[in-house]
Amino acid sequence: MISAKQKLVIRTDLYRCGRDFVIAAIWLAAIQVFFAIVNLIFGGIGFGDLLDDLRGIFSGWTFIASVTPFVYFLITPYSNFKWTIQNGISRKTLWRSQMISAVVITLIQELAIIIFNFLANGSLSEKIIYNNSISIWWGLLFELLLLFETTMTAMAIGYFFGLLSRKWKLIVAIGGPILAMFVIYYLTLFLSKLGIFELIGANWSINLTGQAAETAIIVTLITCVVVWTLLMMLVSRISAKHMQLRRD
Amino acid sequence: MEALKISHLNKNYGRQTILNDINMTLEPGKIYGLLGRNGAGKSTLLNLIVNRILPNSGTIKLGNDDINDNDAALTQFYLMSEVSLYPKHVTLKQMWEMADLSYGSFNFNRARRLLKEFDIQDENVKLSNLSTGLQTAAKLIVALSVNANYVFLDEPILGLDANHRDVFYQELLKAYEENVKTYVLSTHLIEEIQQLVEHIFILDNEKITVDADVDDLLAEMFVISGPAMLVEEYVKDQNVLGTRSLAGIKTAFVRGALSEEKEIPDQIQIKHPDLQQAFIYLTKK
Repeated sequence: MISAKQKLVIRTDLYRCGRDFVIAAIWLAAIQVFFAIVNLIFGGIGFGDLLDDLRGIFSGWTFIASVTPFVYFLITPYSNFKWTIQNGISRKTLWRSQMISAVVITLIQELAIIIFNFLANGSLSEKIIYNNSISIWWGLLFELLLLFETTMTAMAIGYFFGLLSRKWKLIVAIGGPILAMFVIYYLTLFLSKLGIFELIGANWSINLTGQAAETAIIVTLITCVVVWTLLMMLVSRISAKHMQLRRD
Repeated sequence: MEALKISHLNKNYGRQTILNDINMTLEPGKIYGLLGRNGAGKSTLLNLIVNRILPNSGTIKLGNDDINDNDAALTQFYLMSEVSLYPKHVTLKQMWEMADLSYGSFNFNRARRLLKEFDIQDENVKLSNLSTGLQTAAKLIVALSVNANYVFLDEPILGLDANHRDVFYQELLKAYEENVKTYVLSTHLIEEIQQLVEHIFILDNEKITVDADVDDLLAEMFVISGPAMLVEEYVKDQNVLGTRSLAGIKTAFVRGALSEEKEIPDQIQIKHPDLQQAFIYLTKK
């Protein structure tokens, strides 16, 4: 049962995310139309080429549909927290509502991507998994899972950054990736010194071209995506629980 | 309606202690004044009560339920504060609709009437396009029309001109008469709220130093003035909070019962202070 407060949050998320998409889509379309006309007038292209240029708008819209929810959930958790707590909506309700919003938005996003892809290329979806044994529907489901994972990652980062002051946001945003690179570099070096890679190489006997190996790769991929999604949900929930009005 | 009970509440920002062991109870259906000097922690306390910020320790309970992350409790609280937490381009109508969806039964009729009283032309105007005073008025309209049992008003008259302040006081009393709720007013214009508030809390040095009905507090405080020597002699054994001298006339502010054994010299005048005078001497460093 969805409460009135949850409905308010979900409605606001859908409206704002949709509005952001429309604004970005209009801008992109305007830019592409402008350059298509410039190309027609000064480039001496034919009418058929103009239509091809204009069809490029749909490719642009596919890209915008892919990134809008990510950007939305990345930058709005703190501002959402502010107006919801002003209206007596708890952190728990905010987070739960945003989870529902994320599911609904991802479904709409997937549908939009399919439609724009079809209009741009004439195919239903870009093939993510190049495997003939997997139907297009399973491919779309996997794409949906990946989109949801991306949204959850954005939400986790957004909520976590919502806990930080401006100064710490800057420190973490710059220092975090640098630290991660150092950690990965030295971890790789360490594993290499231990001879782990040679050990794996010597014992690598899976036939990657076989059906079983392909299924194993897909299962591994899906498991990784699901585990990562759950982890991101946990990060966003914990961050939401500790979110409070900042003094900056 | 249940009482709001705050127990052993502490709040620090880094190494700075803002509130230390705060204990207080807000009863249903009363108008309270929350007073304190600049930086005393009034806004922090109100933000803690409505769960905008989290305490380092201590509890805030509505009846028997902790208010933290509790929708049922938070639906009973509305805090109107100086800082706007609404989205950037929000219109007044959208603010009302949000309050209606979150708290239920928003009083749209009162809100529209108050809009006229505060000389705001249109409910579709953006909050950010209004002057400071009218932004305060717009937020007050929500606070006076929202269906919450505890309404907290942090600096409710910031930027309001005298006419609009008068409108606010009248409308607050009208709203209180129509639907008895608990109102907590935090302001520096103490003189103006003296007639409105029934009970006051004074925050000083991180703690609640006064928790009393206004009448009781003022009844136990005295302003004694007259020739300096006579006043000094008369207040010698009393709890003197402070003194002031001007042209040989000394004024002493005393808290606590006056000695009945001492005869009051004819040249000495004794009266009770107003709330502002009492506040000044109770919070003087």
